[in-house]
Amino acid sequence: MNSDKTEPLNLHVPEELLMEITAIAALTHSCLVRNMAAQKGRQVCMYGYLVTTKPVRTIKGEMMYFGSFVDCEGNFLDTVHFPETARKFPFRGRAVYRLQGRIVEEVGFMSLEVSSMEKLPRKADPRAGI
Amino acid sequence: MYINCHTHFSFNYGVFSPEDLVTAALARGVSRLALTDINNTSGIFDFVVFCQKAHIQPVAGIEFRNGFQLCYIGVAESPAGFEGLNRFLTGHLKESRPFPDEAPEIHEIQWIYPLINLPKREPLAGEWLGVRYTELRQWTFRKSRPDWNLKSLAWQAVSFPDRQGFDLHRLMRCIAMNELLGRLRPEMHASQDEFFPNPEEMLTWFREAPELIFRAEALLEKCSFPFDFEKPKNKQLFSADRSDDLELLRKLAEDGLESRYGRGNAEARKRVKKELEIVHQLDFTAYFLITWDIIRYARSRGFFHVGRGSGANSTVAYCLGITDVDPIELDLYFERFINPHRTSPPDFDIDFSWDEREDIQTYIFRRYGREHVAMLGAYVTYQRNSIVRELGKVFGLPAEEIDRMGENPAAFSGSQVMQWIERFGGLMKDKPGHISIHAGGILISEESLFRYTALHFPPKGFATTQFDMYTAEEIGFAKFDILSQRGLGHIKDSVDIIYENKGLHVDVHAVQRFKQDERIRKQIRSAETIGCFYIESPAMRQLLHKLRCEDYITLVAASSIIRPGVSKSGMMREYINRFHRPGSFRYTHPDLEPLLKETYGVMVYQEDVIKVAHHFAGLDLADADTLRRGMSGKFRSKAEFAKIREKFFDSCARKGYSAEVTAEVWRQMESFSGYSFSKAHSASFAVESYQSLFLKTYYPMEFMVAVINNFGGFYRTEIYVHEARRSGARVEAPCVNHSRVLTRIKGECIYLGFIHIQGLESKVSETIENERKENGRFRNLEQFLKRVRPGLEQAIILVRIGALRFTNRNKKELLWEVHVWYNGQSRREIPSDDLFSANETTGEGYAQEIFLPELSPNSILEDAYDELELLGFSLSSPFLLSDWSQEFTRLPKEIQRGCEVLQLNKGIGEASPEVFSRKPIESIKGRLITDPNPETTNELR
Repeated sequence: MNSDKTEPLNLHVPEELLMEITAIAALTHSCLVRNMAAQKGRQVCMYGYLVTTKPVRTIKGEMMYFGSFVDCEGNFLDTVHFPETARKFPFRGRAVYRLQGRIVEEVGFMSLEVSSMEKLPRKADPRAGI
Repeated sequence: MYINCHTHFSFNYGVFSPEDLVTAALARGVSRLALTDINNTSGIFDFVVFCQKAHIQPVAGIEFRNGFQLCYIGVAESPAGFEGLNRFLTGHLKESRPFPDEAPEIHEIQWIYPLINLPKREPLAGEWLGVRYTELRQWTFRKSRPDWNLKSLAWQAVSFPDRQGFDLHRLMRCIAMNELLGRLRPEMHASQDEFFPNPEEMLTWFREAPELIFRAEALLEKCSFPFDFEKPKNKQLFSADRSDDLELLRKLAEDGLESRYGRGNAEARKRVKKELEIVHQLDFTAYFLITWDIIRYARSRGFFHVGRGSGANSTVAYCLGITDVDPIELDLYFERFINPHRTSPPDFDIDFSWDEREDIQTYIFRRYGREHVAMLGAYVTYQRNSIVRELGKVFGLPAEEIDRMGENPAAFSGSQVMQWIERFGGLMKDKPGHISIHAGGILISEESLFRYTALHFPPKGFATTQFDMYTAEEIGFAKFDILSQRGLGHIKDSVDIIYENKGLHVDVHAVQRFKQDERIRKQIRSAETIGCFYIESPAMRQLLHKLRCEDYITLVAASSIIRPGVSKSGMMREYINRFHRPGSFRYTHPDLEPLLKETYGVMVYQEDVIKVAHHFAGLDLADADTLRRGMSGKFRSKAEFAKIREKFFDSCARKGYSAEVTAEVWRQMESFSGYSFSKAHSASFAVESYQSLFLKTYYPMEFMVAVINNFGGFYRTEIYVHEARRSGARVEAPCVNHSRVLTRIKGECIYLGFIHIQGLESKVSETIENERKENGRFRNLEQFLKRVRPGLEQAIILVRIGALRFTNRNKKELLWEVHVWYNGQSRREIPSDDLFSANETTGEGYAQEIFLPELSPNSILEDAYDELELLGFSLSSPFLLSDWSQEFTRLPKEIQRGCEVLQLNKGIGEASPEVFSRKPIESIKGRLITDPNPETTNELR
């Protein structure tokens, strides 16, 4: 990046467009499903839209979950939420979540062992007040 | 003298189970007693079985009540009398008519009236007055009705064993009457003395009038209920006689042999011949022919079906087209379906599409006669949640507290109410609360069904037996399971949609070809199975992936492994490991190797329990089968199961297995078999999965439309829409000129159906579809409003979802115009056709004449919110709907800066068309957020 080019431009940017750009930046900086195999074993950040969850009771009687998401390219992402994570970071309905955790492989199958998770808020309803 | 005993089949009244009642009778030295449940006969055969074992004479009867008012008790002298009682009860249940004050005259029934409902006339033959010992004084002194004196007998109702039973009885009466315990009136429950006295006590109570006891005893003595449990009760003949039936079945099987196996397949021919012999020998010829007849009817109506369950072990069934599973290919044993040692009768499970099953059921009822066909009943029993809910209400807890109690019982452990609930809940658990209907079981009987049961009529209206499948089996019925399934609907609809969209007739029955198809193999291997029957869930797709599944045999195994039993016990993971490294494990015992080689030592199918119990432990086949059923919780008595368990351990010890090995094998059997499928059943499911897979592989868009239109899949509509896009379809919001009630596809464009629009009346949807079919497309807004007449509110919904976008006006303009239109109408008071006919030919718009302010088009975000509200999901990406500002600040500083500068350098002019385009964009980067495609959004809960 050339320092002489980092001068901010004095353009008027609509709020909406700025949001798209920040989203692209965040998404490209995260891991996508198609890259999971290459990132095996690493700690990564992924963004996924919640598809379904499956609660399971462990032998100790605690609740854990298997999650299913789609990433921004539309590929399916499987997640595991062990009891402690599940307790600290509960699912909060259909939305895009930021998922942080480790990519694990089991017999060729990639999944994300989630260590923390946060739901992204939705943009304000522009129709509000009409 | 025990002419009036109740069991828990007097729902929410009796406390005894039939077994408990007989045990109590035996303990008191009672030699005969009558079971007379209230308006019910569910318990009769259990009662008879236990009585026979205890050498007690069983008598069958019914107590008739209107609400809690006792009318009379009918006791059957004979099976014919029992039939009469059932007929009488059924007539009243069917029409919900109250029972008359006086009992009807029916042969071979003895009637007992209570004092409060004694007919004001002389007694007829077979009519009696029942006198309770507490009524003796009243009875002795009443001189007004001497005509009944010699027709009086001792009456002791038996409803519960003891004081605690009485308390439970009162609680259950509260549940039945929906009353608080404190408000239960005495007439709503039995009196405290309806426990089970022994004969000496009875004699003491009635010592002033012992003749009453003798009469009661004499009455019971002349009643008998002989019953042959062994004799098959199913309809015995399909044609006119036995030999014709056999000829017909043989002919059909031979025709099928050729079409299924080609000419001259000696192995198949041999097997069919052997099966036919057993079928004939065990009298199941008509059973096969009736099933064939049902399938034949279904075919004639163009319905799809799947034959599954243990019936799929039969090559004859395969040849008859009842099933699509080739037992020879899969090495399935016919004996698993029918054999002389099997303790349970066979049953055919036939699935039909959810919207076609009722047609089939109606056919069976009409074809085989109303008195000979009935659905099987089932009992809804009290379980933890229902116990807490019902008893909580009885004890007067508010609804919220009951909810909390259900979720977290530990928090209430100290409370008095919780102690009561625990104490009585324990007694209530597994008791039937009411009678319902089995998922699909149908009986077709030789003799009138009234010989066995009264019939009740659940909301759907088909006659239903009062007993359940276990009793049906016990008394010699083999049921037909006619079930409803969602998967078949999407397969059949796919075929229709493909024809409409592509003009192609596809054959979904060419399953043998699908199994060899390279593209389908690839499709399974990549676990791209969303929408496919039985294999679409994330867990299943994971399993397919891990097994690198690409063929039918592995899919059959996967369908069984995914069941909770195998997966929970850790054996699923074990199976996957062994699958990949077959040399890496040791069998629990070397003797298991020949039995479980195919599944790497893991028990996967129901048959495996039988194999292990028979060959490894050395039980005989009948015991092994009982054990398998017991493992699934299908046993009549716990004692019987315990006995077989003991046999298993004894026999293993005799064969020299160590205690550890035996215990481990038992544990493995126990952990999985409650949920396991038979191999034939898995195989039938896998056939259907293959049909789905074929459609998804070759016609993914049409397939996904069919899945969307059938609802009820594993995922919500939004996800199937997403999946349709992944296969290349363009998905459009509903449109009045293209959409129908259900979702449709034109080329590669999918128009969502009106059915998905929340708040849109089905009448409006149907009018749009029909009106367009008859009179062509809508040319402008006013024409639409005139032809469809949706009304203002419905028109607004259509505008907001974008269904009127064909007008090329934006939503705000359309809303304005719609409002103006309806205001104009109301001012002119009546919207008649004449009013607008002047405009019709010219197509001149009414709204075009009016002043229209300049209104800007909706932004994508506004549309997305409209869709979210009206469809339940947005057609834009959910990533578009999310607020990313927080995420941006999480990025490394230099990226933040770089983004701002570099991205903005491109300028709005370049970025915006791409970023906001609603068309699919090929470049990966472009797809990120802009593509309406990948995902879809939904409302936050």
